[in-house]
This record gives sequence, structure tokens and C-alpha cells, in this order.
Amino acid sequence: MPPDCNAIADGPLESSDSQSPHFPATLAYPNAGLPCAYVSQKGECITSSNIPYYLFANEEEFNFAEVATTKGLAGSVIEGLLKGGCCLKHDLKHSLKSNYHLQKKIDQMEDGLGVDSWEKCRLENITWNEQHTGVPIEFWYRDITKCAKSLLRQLAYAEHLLYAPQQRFDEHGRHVYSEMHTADWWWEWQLRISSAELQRHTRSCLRCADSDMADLA
Amino acid sequence: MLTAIWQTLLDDGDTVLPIIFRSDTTHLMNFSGDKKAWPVYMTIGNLSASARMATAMHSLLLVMLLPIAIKMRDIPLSRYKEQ
Repeated sequence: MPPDCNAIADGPLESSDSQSPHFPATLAYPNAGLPCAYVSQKGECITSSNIPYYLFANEEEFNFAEVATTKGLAGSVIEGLLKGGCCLKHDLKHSLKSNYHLQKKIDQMEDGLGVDSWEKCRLENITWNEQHTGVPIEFWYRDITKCAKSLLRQLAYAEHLLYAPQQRFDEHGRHVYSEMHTADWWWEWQLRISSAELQRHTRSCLRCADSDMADLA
Repeated sequence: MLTAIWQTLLDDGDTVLPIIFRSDTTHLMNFSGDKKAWPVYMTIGNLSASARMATAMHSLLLVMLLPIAIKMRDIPLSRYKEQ
């Protein structure tokens, strides 16, 4: 460890970029997670080569569904477009029969968090107070691992995701904290729940990194 | 967190996935007596803070919708005073 690594910086840094240009020394945890390829939840690999507009037959259909949902079209308007004599192509009207069918398809889309992801739980005999004893309560919940997976799978987050905890030091060798992955607890947990072999490997990597940083200073 | 049992240890390339929960009571409507619910949202700590906080990124997912507890004032005032 570099000298004074436990000293806390005077104030929180406003920086949130992972590149950290004004941290002369940034120590990233070796062999922590890396982004991997897109894997479909259903186990079947959908690559861009076979069906790029999966669930929808072609680009036209996909674009229609995108406009219909993102522009906030009312259900009756979509229904009218699909069933009425608008200038939509015949095959589009044929495959997307109605607003109901369109919504069904959108619910099936690959984020795994459609209506089906909600589960209902009922707890019996809850005592709120003297008057209300034995009241059943019902609530809805989702599986948090599914939610976390879904968040990790979003392409929009690809450039914002961080996998390896870091230790950052300023030019005086003081430990600076800003983002969540620069906190001590992530680093400690990463080390604590690693397998013994990996811990040894990590420690040796860190020793090398420390000597490099000492050279820098 | 301290009582968690780690059945499998991290392997090469694995990482920690911090899960952040947020919750507050939310007013739903004024009709039929001020309906409220208590939603619980979650997000992951692996997203950089700027992306996580941005509303346009939609990084908060609703994971639970809890009912509001029946309040103590449901007990008639006369009995409440006796206590």
C-alpha cells in the first residue's frame, strides 16, 4: 500500500468519470468482472445475424411497434391504424392484428420484466394494532436477481457499467473516494468472498502494482 | 449482510453486484380517502453514479408495492385516551 493510503480527501470530488484524468494513481482490482456477450434469457442465442427484429417479423413491424409505444399513441389510435384503411402495408396489418396482439408481443420482449415478472404474496394474520388483528395483507413483488440481470443486460448502460473496484490516490498519496466502486467496502468484499487461490493471485498482482506506484511517486 | 452465507466463492472474472434500494410512501389518488402505497425501487451499484441518477436512463426498477399500514388513529379516540 502506498503511504497515507487511509487519509481521506478533504471533500468529495465532483468527478464521476471512470477515466479519472486527474488521479495520478488509480489501482483497479485485478481480475474482477468483465462485460460478456449478450446472452438471451431463454437460453436461445439471438444474434443480430439471424433475426435482428426478434418477435417482430421485419423492420417495418418493429418500427411501427416502436413508434406506437414510445410516442404514447392511445390504444384506440393503434387499433384504428391496424384495423382501419390507413396506408399501412397489408402484411403489417396481417401480422399485427390488433392493439391487443401488439401489446402481447411487447410484453414478450426480451427484457424478462414483463407483466409475468410480478408475483403476488399474501401474508395471513398480520396484527396492525388491537383493532386489526388477523388481517391478511397482499402485496406484489419482483425477483431482484431478475431485475439486476435485466439492468446488466441493457445496451444503453454498456458504457456506464463498472465491474472492478478501484482505489484512487491523489498526487499527495491520499486515498480519495468518489464513486461507489472507489469505496473500501466493495474492495474488501471482493477480496473476502474470493476463492483462496484467487486471493493469493490478487495479492501478488497488487504487490506488483504497489511497487509500480512507488516508482511513480 | 454479515449473516449471509456465501455458498459459492467468487471466481476469476466475477464481481460484486451492489444492489441499492430506495423507498418512500407515494400518494396515489385523492378519491376514496387518500390512497397511498409504499413502492420499493432498486438499482445496481455497478452503474456509474451519473448514469444511475439520470432520470432519462430509467435505471430504477420497481420491485415491490407494499400497502400502507393501518394507522393507530383507527382506534376510537375515547379508547385511545384510556391507554
